[in-house]
Amino acid sequence: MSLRWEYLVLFLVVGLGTYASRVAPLALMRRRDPGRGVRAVLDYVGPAVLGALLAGALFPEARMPQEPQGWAALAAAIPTWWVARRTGNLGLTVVAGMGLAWLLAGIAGLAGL
Amino acid sequence: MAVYSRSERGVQLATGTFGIARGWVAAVPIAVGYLPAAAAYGLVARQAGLSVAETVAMSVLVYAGASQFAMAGMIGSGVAAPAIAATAVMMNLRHLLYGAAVAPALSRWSPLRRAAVAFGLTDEVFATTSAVLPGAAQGTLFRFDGLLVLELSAYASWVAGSWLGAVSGRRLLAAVSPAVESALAFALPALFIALLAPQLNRRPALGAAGLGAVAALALEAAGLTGWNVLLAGALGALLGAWLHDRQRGAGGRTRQSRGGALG
Repeated sequence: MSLRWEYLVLFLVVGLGTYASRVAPLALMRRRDPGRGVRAVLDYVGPAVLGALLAGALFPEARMPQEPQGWAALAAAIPTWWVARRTGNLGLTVVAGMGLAWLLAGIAGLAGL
Repeated sequence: MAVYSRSERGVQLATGTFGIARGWVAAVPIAVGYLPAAAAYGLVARQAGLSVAETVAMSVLVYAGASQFAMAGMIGSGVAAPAIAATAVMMNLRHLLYGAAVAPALSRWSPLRRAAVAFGLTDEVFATTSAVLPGAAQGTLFRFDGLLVLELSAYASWVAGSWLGAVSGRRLLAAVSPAVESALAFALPALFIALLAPQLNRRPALGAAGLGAVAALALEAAGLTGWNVLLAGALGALLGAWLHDRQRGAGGRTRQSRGGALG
């Protein structure tokens, strides 16, 4: 179990930089109501970031999937979306999505894709 | 399970208290999704020449998935440490947005508590938290212990998964069938869908998410991988706010004209 000091320093520097970007807004924005304009923008950070993260997860490297696993994820996303809209249940949606991905990847495997 | 309720603001997590119980429930899909992702990181880090201790130390100290993969890759390629550090920190600048969005809901907490929860504000924790934020604005009690439980569970899962991947990554991957691997890999996208889909009842949210998605892909295709979520998130949020403002303006004008007709 070796730990080279140069790597430890690197991890510490990156860790501190990452923490700084997480803590800075929390430390600097202390007002409960930052104003209507800022509030309106901040209200839509969630959906905008979720859209960005989901797109990145479904289209790695901004391309159509290159392997059956990626296609299975893309195909599973549509019924998973339906489950999320229909039920609004976080846990059920995740379980249903994973089940669908498993099923579709299994079918792709059986079909020899 | 987290329950959503419909309201004028779209669909939001049911109001009430976001305490320990809801923190645990919200942590489950994140922890399930983190385990295989962290195990994959552990495997990549070992292949890049890091020891088990170094692999786990990076997860403990950095705790940011995408940049850890990038760092392991750069270490394996022999990139100089300052370049690795600059790239990784740049990739994590998107967290500025997360803190800004969460800050008003936590404004009554002590600086120490805000500093403590800042460490665990990853993509997925923010995504989960953002679903509660509209409720927080309308009186949902956002408790410190609830957020702490959510963050600690996710952190423990990430560190444990990294260790597991570093110690037995190859054997683990060989033992898992491709179908099961697909299911595990889909845990985080499914979580994003579960959090996003119920929020898209209104045009501004739809516009924000749509532009966020398209901009993220376009920026990544343009080679701005480290910046894409930050920039796409900011662009999408600006569009959402603009559409929101237009909708309010149109509503006001409609009311005015109706008032005029009646008057």
